[in-house]
Amino acid sequence: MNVAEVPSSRQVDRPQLPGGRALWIRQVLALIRLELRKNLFGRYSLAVYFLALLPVGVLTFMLMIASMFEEDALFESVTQGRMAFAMFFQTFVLRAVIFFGCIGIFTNLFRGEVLDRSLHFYMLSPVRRQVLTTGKFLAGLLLVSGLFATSVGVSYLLVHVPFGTTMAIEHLFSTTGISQLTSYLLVTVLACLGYGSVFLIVGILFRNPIVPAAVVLGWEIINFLLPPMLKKLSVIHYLKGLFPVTISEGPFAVVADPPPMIVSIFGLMLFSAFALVIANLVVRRMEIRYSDD
Amino acid sequence: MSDSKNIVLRNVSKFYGEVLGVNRVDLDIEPGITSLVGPNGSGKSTLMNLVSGLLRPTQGTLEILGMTPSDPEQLFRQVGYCTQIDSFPKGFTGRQFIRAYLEIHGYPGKAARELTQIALERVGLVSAADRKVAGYSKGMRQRIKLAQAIAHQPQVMVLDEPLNGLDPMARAEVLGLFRELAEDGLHVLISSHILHEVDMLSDRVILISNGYIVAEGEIQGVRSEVKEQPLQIYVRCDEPGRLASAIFSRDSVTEVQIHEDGGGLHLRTKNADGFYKLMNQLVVEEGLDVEAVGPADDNVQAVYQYLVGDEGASV
Repeated sequence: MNVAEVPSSRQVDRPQLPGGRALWIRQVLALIRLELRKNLFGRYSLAVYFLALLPVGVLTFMLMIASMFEEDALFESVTQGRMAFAMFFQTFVLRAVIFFGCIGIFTNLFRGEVLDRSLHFYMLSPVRRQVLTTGKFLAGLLLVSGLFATSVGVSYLLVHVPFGTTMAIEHLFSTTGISQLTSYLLVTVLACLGYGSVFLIVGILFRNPIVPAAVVLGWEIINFLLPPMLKKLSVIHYLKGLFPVTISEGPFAVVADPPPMIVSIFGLMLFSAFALVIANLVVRRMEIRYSDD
Repeated sequence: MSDSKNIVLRNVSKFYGEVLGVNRVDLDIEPGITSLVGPNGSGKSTLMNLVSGLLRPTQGTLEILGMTPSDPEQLFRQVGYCTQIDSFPKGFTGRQFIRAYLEIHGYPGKAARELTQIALERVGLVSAADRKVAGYSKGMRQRIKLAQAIAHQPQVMVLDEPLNGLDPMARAEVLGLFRELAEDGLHVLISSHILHEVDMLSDRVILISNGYIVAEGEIQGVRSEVKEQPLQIYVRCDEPGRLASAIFSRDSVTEVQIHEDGGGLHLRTKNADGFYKLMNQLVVEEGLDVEAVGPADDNVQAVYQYLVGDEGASV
């Protein structure tokens, strides 16, 4: 390099930037692009990829086993297949796959950056803290929603495979099929939104998120035993009203009507907004200290 | 926001629990190159992080060009910080790294591309710009961090050990870049343990020890304030032995050492002005052939050692 030959940057006019909301939107979009790219190759994403593949893998394995014993078809009818999928979705996909996927991504939105010693790049940028928090959260949400919605969609299709291509297409594109698939995808995205919000806060407030995450998991699992008032303090309660197929929660379940769809959707969105406000308050007070000096 | 064009710290203290980071720091830093000098753990990085807003003071106030760190949206358009930390997003090339952060500033694609190119040119990393940062050498990593710090054309540059890992050639080039930035009217705040280069480069120094500012100002000015410490002067001449006996008989010189090569001597005096007058006299009277005369300890290291004692030796 010969510095003397290089044009001085002072000679180049710094481009004017828009102010206010236009700038914030531009910054949020840039943050989402950068975060998606970082997350796609990040170490925390490997577990999420694995989790997203798990439902598809489990169903494919079951179909392969069933096809080896033709007399024992996996499902006797489409209705039975859909019922089985409802059980699979509500117990395994929602409570394990999506739940742990959200832990992996959202608890590390800020904590991961601190561990990687890279948060200062954001903190030294001329970005409002609420823009930073929102951008990172939306990037995480896009990533997990995209991965898990794809996983759920493919899994739902797989349930129809044993009935042959023609039957499968017919059932999938029937009113019930499309309606159920849409509901599952909506529940998936809302679950990511709800659990993502919970684990955004957990990741920011707790140095070690394992214990609080375990408490949240326990609370969600015992939700069916909780009295109606306490049920409202869980994400799963707001998703129940959106399930296309209702399954029994067993003889000990405390029965309570799930909230209407509109309450579920706006309730979870409102909770996310609240989580972002809390996260923003913490991030605004955050200090970065890597060195011992 | 005030109209101040300086970096101003008023009674700033930072404690980590009960551990002192820096204590009661009052500074008014003007544009130009200011070096922050002190041993490890003296509070240099704490002070740097306070100025760049990564840390909040436990007490006191800071203003950077009239802005406070509580307004990052305004402040970080004017501040660029090159940290010691080598941490980069995985899978990014140097160019993508700079550009991604310029886009976070809000620059649209074309402007971000242009500013990225300018920054890469200024740090001499254009040829390696499209290689993955993970494959960069230590020196290249240092330069890409510098490029990121200057890419948005800030008015204040905070550079924490920016010469670390640079080979002598790259070091000279980067120092040239700092001078150029300072000539453009920027504040360039550098911490470095390579005192010789910092000394040559700086308009002023801040000496810090155990969290306290022990001295600040132009290095010569700081040196002259250390009155109780005899000034060291070197003389290169053809007959140092004769010169030594002549000055011992006439001046308050406290110590003389002949150079190993026999081509000069080192001496200590408490009356530098008197000594220089005497030297002129001796040259004429004794017919000495004097090649050079100058202060031997008018540098940061010497001053630091005088001020903080043995601790300064580890700087």
